[in-house]
Amino acid sequence: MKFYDLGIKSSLSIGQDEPEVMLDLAIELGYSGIAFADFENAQPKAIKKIKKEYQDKCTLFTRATLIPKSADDMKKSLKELQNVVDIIAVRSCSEEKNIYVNAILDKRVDIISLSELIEFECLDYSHFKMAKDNGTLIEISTCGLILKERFQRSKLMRLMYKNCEQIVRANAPFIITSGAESKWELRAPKELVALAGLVKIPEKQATSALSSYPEILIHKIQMRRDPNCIMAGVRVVPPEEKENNGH
Amino acid sequence: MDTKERQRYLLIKIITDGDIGEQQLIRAIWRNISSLYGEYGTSRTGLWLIEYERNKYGILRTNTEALTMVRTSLAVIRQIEGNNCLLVIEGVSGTIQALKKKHLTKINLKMQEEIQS
Repeated sequence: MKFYDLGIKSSLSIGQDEPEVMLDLAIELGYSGIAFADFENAQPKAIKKIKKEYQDKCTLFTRATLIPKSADDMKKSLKELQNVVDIIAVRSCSEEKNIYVNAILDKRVDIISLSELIEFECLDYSHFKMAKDNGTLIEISTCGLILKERFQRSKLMRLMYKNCEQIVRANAPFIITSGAESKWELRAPKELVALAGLVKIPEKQATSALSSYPEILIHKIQMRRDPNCIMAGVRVVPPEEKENNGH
Repeated sequence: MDTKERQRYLLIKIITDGDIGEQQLIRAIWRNISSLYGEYGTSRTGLWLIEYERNKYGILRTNTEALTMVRTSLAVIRQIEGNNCLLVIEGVSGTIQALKKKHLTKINLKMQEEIQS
């Protein structure tokens, strides 16, 4: 089984360690693919060389996490980043539900990111159902569980528990990420599954959140990159491929 | 009726930028289990540090039922006595012998490679 952590930050943005350091450890921990969430401002060209160097060991993706002030602001940023990065995630960092609703409905948004207390407070079952219908992934970041302590951690666990229960009930696709900003915050897939157990995510679903759901997103990314793909689900089969398949 | 608890042995690899002693490691693990699951939960784990190779690896013993609790508690540890650290569970087994045979050789080989490079 292949595992993916699609929310790692490196020194290309606010992270503490170089991308290579994070990558080496991620490979050691058993990840087959990771996404560097550094590219809101930085250019993805920065990791072109690393991507080539590590192509046999680990698949690399570029991700931008937008924190828009309003829905219009989000749409403007989406237009700029649409063809620049592989994955676009949206966080609100506020109680603004409108941003999340617009993000869920927008096909250009791949991930709705939840990591802070305030973000876990503003979504409910109907939003997760909507996310399921639109094929948008919900990201649950476990970094708060590692970084916070005592009262803050138990408060976060309570809110995460309520949200995760609704996500599982709505059968919405979700991913679990470490949200690591340094190599000391990276965790192995099995450890992330164990952490997900703290917020009552069943082991089977937690494992899917680290392997099969990210694979769906990766397939989506590959389709987007494919010049023969006209729209979602429609692909022109080139003549060579047609012959190879014996048609 | 057989009341004997079934045990599991965990091989943990220690990645750190400082120096972590045996007592420091034990205290950190107990503190984190206690903070996450309370005194009652901690009492259920039957946790014991069997072997410790300074800053390299350690072997922990726990109950089968408490395995997830221990795994979770190890996952939330990121600092021990001010030193950054990462405890990676390399393998779990029912006997120490099988654990060492299967996983310890892997760690030793990796370390040799690191030294050589």
